[in-house]
Amino acid sequence: MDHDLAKNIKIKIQIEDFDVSTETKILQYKKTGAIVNFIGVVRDHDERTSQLINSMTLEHYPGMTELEIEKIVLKSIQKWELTGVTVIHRIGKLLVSDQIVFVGVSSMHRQNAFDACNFIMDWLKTQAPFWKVEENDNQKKWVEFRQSDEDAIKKWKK
Amino acid sequence: MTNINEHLKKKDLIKIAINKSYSSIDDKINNTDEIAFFPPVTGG
Repeated sequence: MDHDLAKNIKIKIQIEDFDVSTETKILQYKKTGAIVNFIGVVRDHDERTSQLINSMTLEHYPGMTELEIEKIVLKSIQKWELTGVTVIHRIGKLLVSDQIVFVGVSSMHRQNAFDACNFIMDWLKTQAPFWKVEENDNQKKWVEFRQSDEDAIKKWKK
Repeated sequence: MTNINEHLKKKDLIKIAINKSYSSIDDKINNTDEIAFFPPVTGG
């Protein structure tokens, strides 16, 4: 692995919010010509039932989560020429419109950053051990996995 | 309310990790290994 790049990888699981412009600046190295950010946010309804929700609580498997994300990021830097990667995933109770996840990728040229960002998010969805429970006034409901997320990773297996 | 059995019927969906790494039901384990069984993940 490129030793310079190893220093430019940041993976964090945290309760606190993140600041997108601060994180974007961190990804800007001298060789960087393109930065692609993905931000996942809490929507106001359950996808299957369309029922409105007030909040969502995220749990994870400490230790394994970080290892799985690290594996995905290492695969991405082997596959594409990148200058920096940041993955921040929040846990705990989040309200509608709160930020959940940040995946930022920088590279010399845009296509690598677009592809690597997409790759990291697709694999994170199916491999990183997080679970979400949606809450409204009367009830809690664990979010079920989506087949479309499993299908999304097939394009990377070709 | 549902019976636990109903959920165990979906055993293909249950994920297994040995020492915080995805594994399969046929993998060997030692006495001190950390074993986890969990449902499909829903992060991101």
